[in-house]
Amino acid sequence: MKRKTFLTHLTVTAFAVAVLLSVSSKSFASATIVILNNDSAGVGFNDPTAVAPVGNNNGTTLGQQRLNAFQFAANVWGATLNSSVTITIRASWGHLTCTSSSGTLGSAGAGNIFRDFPNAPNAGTWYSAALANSLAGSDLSASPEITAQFNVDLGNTGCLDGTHFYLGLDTNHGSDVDLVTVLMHEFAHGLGFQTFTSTSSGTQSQGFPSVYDRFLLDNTSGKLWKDMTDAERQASAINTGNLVWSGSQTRTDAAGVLGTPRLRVNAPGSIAGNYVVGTADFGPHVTSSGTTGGVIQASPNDGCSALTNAAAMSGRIALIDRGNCAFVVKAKNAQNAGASAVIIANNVSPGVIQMGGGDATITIPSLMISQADGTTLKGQLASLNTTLFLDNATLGGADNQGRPLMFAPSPIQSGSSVSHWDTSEFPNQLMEPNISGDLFHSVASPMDLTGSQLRDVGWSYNPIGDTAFYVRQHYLDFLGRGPDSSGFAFWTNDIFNCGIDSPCNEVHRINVSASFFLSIEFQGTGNLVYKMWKAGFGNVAGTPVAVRRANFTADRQAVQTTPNQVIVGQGDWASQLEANKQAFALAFVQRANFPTSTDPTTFVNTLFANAGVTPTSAERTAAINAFNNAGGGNAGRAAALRSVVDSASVSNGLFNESFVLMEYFGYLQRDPDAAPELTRDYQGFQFWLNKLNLFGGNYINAEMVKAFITSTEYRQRFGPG
Amino acid sequence: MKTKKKNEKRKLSMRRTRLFRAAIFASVLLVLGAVTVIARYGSRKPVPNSSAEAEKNFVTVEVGGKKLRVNAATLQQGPLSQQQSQQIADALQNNKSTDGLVQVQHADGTIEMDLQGRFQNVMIAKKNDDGSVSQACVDTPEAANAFLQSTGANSTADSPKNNEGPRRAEIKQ
Repeated sequence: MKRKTFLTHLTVTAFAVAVLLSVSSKSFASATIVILNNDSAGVGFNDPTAVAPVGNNNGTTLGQQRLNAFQFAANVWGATLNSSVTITIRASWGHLTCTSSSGTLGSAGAGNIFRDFPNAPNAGTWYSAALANSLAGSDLSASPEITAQFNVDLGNTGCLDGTHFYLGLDTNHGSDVDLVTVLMHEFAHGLGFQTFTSTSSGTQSQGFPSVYDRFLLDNTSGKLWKDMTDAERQASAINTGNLVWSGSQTRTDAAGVLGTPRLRVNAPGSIAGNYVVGTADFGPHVTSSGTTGGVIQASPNDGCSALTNAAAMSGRIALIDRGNCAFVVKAKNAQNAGASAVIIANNVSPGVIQMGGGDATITIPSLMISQADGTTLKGQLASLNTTLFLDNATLGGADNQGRPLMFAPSPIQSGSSVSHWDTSEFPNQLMEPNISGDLFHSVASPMDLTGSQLRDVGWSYNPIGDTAFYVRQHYLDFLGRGPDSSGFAFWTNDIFNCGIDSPCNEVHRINVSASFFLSIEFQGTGNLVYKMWKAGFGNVAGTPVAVRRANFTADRQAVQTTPNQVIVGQGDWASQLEANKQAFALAFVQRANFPTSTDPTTFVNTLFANAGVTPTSAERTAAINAFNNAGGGNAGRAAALRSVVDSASVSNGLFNESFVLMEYFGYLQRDPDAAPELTRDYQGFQFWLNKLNLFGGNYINAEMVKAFITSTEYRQRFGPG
Repeated sequence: MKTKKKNEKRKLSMRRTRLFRAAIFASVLLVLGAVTVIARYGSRKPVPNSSAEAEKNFVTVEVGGKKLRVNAATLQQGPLSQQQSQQIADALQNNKSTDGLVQVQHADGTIEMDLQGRFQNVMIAKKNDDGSVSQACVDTPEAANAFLQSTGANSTADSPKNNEGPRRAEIKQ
């Protein structure tokens, strides 16, 4: 009977929660992009030549690997765009114009365009087929939305001899052409990153503007392309540095994407400030949050062989002299020694250069400083602390309003004018006219602005489907900080390694997500805070949880940053985290209403009772000893609190409720009883806690993480769908 | 029948001769390459910037009756002849023209225009003097020509960023 009642309750609650989570997961929006193989038997996609797997592309024939690369690039877009209409890309491989030293790699574009269709946002305006279908909610034509043809001869004698398409899915293309990146670029044109107005004559297609023209703004005339005469557009197309993209989404996102890489010296004060740097073609870009740490001179100074001072280097920034070997060798040796970043000091004067080379296994950022600056830093090594970061205050490639520049060279240069970003943008963008070797397979901020631009032209776009965006968001939501380079590379690769295997992709997204709650860093900060609140104060009155989100967030941030900014894996993080915990605990026990008993046994029993946990006698004794060993008083109570919350009984006892609560705090950014929770109480929380308990804490079988990350409420934090 | 066989024999013989010549040419290039690579590692001379300077790096080699210009430093054939680059550019001649394209009105008022393969964005590539490959996405013959006729040192991939220095990346010291 009891069991039946429980199951009945469970069913009812499940129904209530389903309204919020389960149903929404079924309506998980995205776009299905299909590659229509238009090749004859034995050719192109059907080439039966046996090949070995390469870079997560597990196709066993050349044709299959080509198809996999196409599908992977299509999936990157399909994960971020929403459309109820399948997008078909009719693709083929052919013998395109080519010589030993130059040639055509491939081409793509919209198959047809539409105007004045049902639900068209703007009358008398051309839209590419895929976008028009998405906006109309129906397939306006039986034709494929995008067509693409690529060069089957690339790399063979007589066609860019020896330079092949890299068919791997992991950006490890070396000196070959990364097919996935080229495809992502060309597909973007087909999806709508393109005007159908002539740039050379300024004439509109059949007298109507493209939706793209509604956002092209000429800063000289102050006019949008849609409002110009043909002659004005013709002039605007070569108005270098004055043609910008005025779309609001792109402008907003540009502030977090574009920037100028810098090296900031934090200490000593005598040389503090920003330094001019040269960037690297290898390894990750520096991020807005940056990489901070003490600086150690590599030994040997040129870093050309395994570093002999690895123990000192671990977690710190390596300073290496330019010279004697390739930059990637230096960076790799520093990484192998445990460095978190690399500063290369130039060995010639003046200035800095961009460091070339490629090695996909390098996961730490590198920057170059001038010879003179190198000398300055070397003179202060004892107390030197620096940050390698992207300065978003100075946007690379934007006007003074933060609007990205469009490519409008005069005279016309390589690159189709105006349907690309200007080449001055930093970091390199997917939709610049040239494909840079350092591009990541991402179309969303903070890596790239392409998705933002497609949202401006009318796409229902949600960046949470983008792997890089997804991973970065977890850093922000659970750790309260931006990603560090090596951690970011690790987690994005974990998902990218699935290639085009969709079920694998789904499982890995769930596991990566859960890993943030389970991480050492979160357990030592966020989860510690929860346990302290529970042991100190018990549950918040009228609720089954110990802390409200506002209080939790402030406290987690304090443990994470005070007195040290902790990034697990960087610097002496373990000592720094311990210092933060001690400082926080000491302050925590002095808060109003915290148990004030001066008797160690009474005090410790109160904490365990508040936590709702029965400790082992060893745990109780350990906490009492901690109290006494610290000399009682606030220090003793803080030590006892640490001992209680670190005990296995408390950690295990509170694990599931903390896990569920953090799903609400992290993913939904709200308390469990806050809007838009339909019942405005803890029914949803209790449902998931019961379910997690029922499955013995197995979040995969309980489908808890999956339900949250696919919920409409979570997804709509970032965009529609 | 005999004549046919004779012709086939002659063809076979010519093919062998061509293969032989190609093999000799490849050997010459390999030797040239080895010497050049050693020389490149030994010197730190900057890459020439002007097309006139770049032109000096090319030597003409006759192979199988065909005159080929080969970059002595990189062993790459090139630069593209006017005819070759025109071939690529010609493919884009009417790419952005709507001449002849037809607008079709659907029953619900929707206007559709089949682009007939126009408004394509074409990714082209070329080898630079140092052997690296530059790529550019173009949609007009002017843009294609501008890319293909420019010297490697001035290719798009090397355009300045942030006015802080050349984009040309240096891999070696």
